[in-house]
Amino acid sequence: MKKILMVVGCILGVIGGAAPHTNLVGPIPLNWLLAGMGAGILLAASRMSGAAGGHGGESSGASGTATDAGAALQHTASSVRSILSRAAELPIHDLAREIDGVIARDLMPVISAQSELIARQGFAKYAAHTGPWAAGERMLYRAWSAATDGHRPEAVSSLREAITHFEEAAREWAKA
Amino acid sequence: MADSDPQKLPIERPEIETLPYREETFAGYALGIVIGIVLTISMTYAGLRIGFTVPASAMAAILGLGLLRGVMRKGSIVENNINQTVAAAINITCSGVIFTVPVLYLRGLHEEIDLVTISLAAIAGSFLGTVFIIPLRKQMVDLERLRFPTGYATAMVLKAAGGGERAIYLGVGVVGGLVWYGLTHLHRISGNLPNLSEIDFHESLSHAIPRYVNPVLELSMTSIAAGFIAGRPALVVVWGGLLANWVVAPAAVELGWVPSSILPSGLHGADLTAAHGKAGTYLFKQVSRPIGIGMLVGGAVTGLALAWPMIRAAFQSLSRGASKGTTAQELSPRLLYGAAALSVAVVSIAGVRAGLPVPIAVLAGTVASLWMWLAGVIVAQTTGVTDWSPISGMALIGIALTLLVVSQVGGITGTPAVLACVTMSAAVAVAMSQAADMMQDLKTGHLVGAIPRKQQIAQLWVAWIGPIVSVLTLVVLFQSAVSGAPHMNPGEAFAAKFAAPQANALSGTITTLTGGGNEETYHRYGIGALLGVFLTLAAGGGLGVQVGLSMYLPFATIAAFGIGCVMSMSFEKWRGTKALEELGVPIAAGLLVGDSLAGVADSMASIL
Repeated sequence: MKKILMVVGCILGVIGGAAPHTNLVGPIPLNWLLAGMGAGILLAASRMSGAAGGHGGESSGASGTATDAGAALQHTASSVRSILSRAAELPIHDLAREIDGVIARDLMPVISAQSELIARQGFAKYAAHTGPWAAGERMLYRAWSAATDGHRPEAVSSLREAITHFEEAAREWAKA
Repeated sequence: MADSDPQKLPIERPEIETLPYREETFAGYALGIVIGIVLTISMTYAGLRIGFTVPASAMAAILGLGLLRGVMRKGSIVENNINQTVAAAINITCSGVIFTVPVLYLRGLHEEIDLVTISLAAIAGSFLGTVFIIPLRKQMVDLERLRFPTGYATAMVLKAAGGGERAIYLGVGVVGGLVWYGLTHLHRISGNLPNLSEIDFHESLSHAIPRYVNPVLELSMTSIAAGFIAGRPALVVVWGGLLANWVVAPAAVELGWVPSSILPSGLHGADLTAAHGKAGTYLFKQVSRPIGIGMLVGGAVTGLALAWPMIRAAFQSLSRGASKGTTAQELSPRLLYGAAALSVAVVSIAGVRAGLPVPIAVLAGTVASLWMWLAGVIVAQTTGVTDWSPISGMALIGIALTLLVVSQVGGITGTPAVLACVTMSAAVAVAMSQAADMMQDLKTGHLVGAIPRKQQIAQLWVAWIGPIVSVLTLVVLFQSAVSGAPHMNPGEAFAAKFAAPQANALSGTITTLTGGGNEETYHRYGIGALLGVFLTLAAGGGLGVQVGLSMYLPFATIAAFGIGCVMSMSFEKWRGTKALEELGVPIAAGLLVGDSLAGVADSMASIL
């Protein structure tokens, strides 16, 4: 229903925009009358619950759930810690492969639940855990790049830093 | 890992334990500067001829892959990322210059142009666009997680250093993109070859679809691949195009809202078709675009207000990072306050040098700086969702605002007003392009694990190069056009050689504005802004900007982008999300890179 109202409001308003401002309905210009009606319908739609989509992030259309995201988010630090404990012995390219595995397994559920998380938790709580989580994500990518480049010390220090961020994200998630 | 792992074919490198990890290096900067300068010259020329430029990121990343890693055998992925950041930072500024400065040539003001002032204004814009957008990295990349298709494709190129199946898919896509570009440009070799660059459904369906709905599909691989990478979240962009062309246009024609000077009654056959074509152009330029620009602004302002809790959290996080001193990963948000003050000062000085009294120059400079920041956010956001940046539309609003201040408050009209406003607009347009590029590069950097601060510093170090190269190239091209046509006056000679579509449009707008303005257009800006506000309120952020952008862009481009989105959704349904990310998106990234590489080569060949 919300989407229908948005479509109707948008069509009415934009058709109003196309009308010459010299066309009058009584004392009111037709263009602003139609635009005002369109805006009113959009306002009514904004007061209805339900997601309308459209923020344009990586996951607006994906169907990830908050539950999956929460489980993955709380699990990521331990997954990275497990790799770190073996990082000194693993052949460097196996290290890159293992990091790639964590990226696919533990990061994707959080990314694909972005829309639902914002809708459920609100922007502020979402930002509180996603901020540190994204920093951890970037350090995990850095660890992959360094391992791919054959640079073990950088890969190891990036994994350490990633754990710090993922732990902070898990704490913030628990508060949310 | 199992054999089916996407990384099963790595390009193995010997382990390097002792050296520091290469990121900010002389080689990375030097290569980026060389590539950036060469591409700036090419793109300034190509942009003046055909009206669009191609981003340098993918080209620089591929060259970096070959030179830094292949030839030097010690380059790293994040070092190559600095190379592409530098190249793109230099190259991107040319679009801001060529959309604005040629206005002065086209209006015959070549003798009044103060090149030093214009260059300084463009350089200031280049620094300020970068600094203004830096504090929003967390918001757009970390929290909103905007896709930035070109940034994503560039990251794929950088990651190809690791080999694996994704690198192979990327390579297949690059070859496909090159072939596609060749096929869609065959008609330029010989007029006898078919024009495969677009499908005109009006012609192919025997005129069954009226010309005023603009039934043309552009077969641009850049648009299709960007749509594929953006996927379902961006499909809403098509909605605005459908609304403008398939709902509003027929309604306006049927209700008699197209001026009779464009669409007289009683026409038949070929005359009616021609008039419908003109009506389509009128409805796009005079109705859809102004409403779209209004929606972009209304949607962006409301989106910023709605996302304020996230932005505040991002700023607080940045401030905490800055207080940690050298370990900070980002430049301090305090830069923003300094940049705001500097922006007003530099743009005001440009106004004074162009002939404005100091109080009016300061007022116009303040308005231009505020617009620079807001438009930078809008352009970065639209680039993040769709890969398109409505720079010319935002420049148009910028010039309207400054002209309003200069003429209505200052009572200054004629050449001094045009000179001052075009100079300020050059700063604004360069700032917008730099803002979008910085955010695109930061997205790439995020995906390869770069340190944002190092990218931000790289962008700032080279921000002055692009405007100088672009302005100098423009001067040389103007001189060559004038010397090549001695029988014409300089402005006409320049216009005869270079189409400069955006600058021509901007010049037309200045003529309209200085002649009292077009009241109908102001109404449409206002109605668009109203709808942008309420659409964004209804959808919870972003939608007003996306629908506005799609009303602003030609439907032929929007439709190609939409096809990419639908293909992405179909592929995901067919093969699943994992296959989409590991097979579909790398191929699409390759197609986008291949198409842009061919575009760059084409531009360089046109100079030679």
